[in-house]
Amino acid sequence: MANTTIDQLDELYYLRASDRRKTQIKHASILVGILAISYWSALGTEFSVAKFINGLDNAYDFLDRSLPPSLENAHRILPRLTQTIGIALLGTTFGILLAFPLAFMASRNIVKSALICQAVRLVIDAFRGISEIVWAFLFVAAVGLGPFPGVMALTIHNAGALGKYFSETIEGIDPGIMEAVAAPGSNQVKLISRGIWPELRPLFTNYMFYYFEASVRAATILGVVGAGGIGLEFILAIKHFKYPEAMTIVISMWALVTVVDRASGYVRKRLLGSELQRN
Amino acid sequence: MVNTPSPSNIAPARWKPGQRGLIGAIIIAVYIIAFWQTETDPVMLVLGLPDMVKFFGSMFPPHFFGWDQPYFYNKESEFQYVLLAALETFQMAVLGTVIAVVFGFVLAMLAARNITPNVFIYHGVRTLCDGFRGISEVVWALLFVAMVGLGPFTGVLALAVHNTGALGKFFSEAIEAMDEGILESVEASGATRTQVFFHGIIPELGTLFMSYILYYFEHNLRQAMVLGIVGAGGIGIELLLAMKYFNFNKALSVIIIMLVMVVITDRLSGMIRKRLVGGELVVVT
Repeated sequence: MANTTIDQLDELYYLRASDRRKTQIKHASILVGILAISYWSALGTEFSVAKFINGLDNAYDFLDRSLPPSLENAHRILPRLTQTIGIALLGTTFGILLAFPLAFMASRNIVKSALICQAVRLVIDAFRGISEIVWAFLFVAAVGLGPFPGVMALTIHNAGALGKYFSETIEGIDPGIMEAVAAPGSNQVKLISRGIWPELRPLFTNYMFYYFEASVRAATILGVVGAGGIGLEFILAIKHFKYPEAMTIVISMWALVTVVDRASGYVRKRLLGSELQRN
Repeated sequence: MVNTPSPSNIAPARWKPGQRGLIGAIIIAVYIIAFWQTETDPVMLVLGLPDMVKFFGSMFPPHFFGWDQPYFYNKESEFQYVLLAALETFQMAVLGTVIAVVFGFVLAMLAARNITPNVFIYHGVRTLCDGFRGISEVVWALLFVAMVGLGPFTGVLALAVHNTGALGKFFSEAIEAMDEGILESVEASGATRTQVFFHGIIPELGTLFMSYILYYFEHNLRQAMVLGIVGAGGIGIELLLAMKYFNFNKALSVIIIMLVMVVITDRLSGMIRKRLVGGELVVVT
């Protein structure tokens, strides 16, 4: 009896060992693959530590010329900061409004036609896959300079991004509830408001706030392509070699993003309470 | 943080009726200011619609081959050339992410309270992460141009710095939320900090880290595409030039190449993520 147990343990041990060996080999080969791709990328992007170290002199020179930050342009910065928040806020709001119909049309458990679903997903991918700045670039070319093309750019990108995540959430709805809603004679309004919406609400809210924060970050740089916001002042200061002013703008960008992140995190927590459990 | 939906046992905090009216008024005021500040005007939008349709119409059809625009820096600006720029973009995203992951882990270990109890180091590193993350890649790129000049290397540095901050923050939050018991048992065996990382944290949070990394790789790819607009390498420069020369058909073809890259990466990373977490919806926020 005792022998068999030892034999079994022995066998188990060797099995485990060979399993472990296998995963080790797998992990090692993944690591080697990543290193190889990184090396190839380093060659392709002219990566060089020497260049970086040589650049430290320039960095010192740059900092020397840009410190201390100048407050000469403070009167122009403040309105640009509120404009940046405005662009992000409207871009997110309109994006959410557009994302809802897109998301429902892209969900297989809502729309039965695979053709419509795939077509809408294609639209969502295109909206999302093109980044805000490229959209802004296009809208600036289409409607001219100003904050409004920035709003449109964020709207389109957010509609795609939120559409994707919303539809993933919708597709995760308990099929039982969906069947109950579809069943004849059911109180659909009540089922949707009591059964489906509570399931969607926490994640939807979370995504909305996340994309508002992301939009603020994006809105700070839309000005680089002429679409309003604080980025416009930044690119002008850099182009005119007004480095102390540029430094003030960088600091204000950072402050804006940090304040918005904190505030949005507070509101998010307040709205969701313990509905979203962190793990 | 990663959030997964869970049944709500405790209702979220409710507003009192008086507060509700005040908050409603504030929200309306904020929106009015936003409309005014951004010069958003629905009437103008409707009036401008034909122009917009005309502009986007003028981009079609995409012009992939035989670009003969006499650019000042390369006369034979062919399809192949743009594909090389696309490849460079991919390489920038890869390297930016890899560097950011390495430094992000280091910063995360220092910015996690349960690993680094020293208050000064903890708060200092946390502030550093916030600083790196709070400034976007494009701004970093513009600053690095002054340091190392134009080119893809600048873009890599910009991506690496921003993402080091972002990943450092998210990794450290994940580590802080970790089960205390695992850390204690690894530390009790006299493990060094490196050993704690490789034997305590990685086995526990590896898949979570992986989904962050994949998410940020996608993000970096999209950002690498626009860094070219400020001269930091990649395919963005092709878009900039095409737009500046009013060659909208070429611009569209560049955008389509960008889109194909992003969509392929998105699908691939979706597949990897699904294999890692078994189809569970992991939300990176």
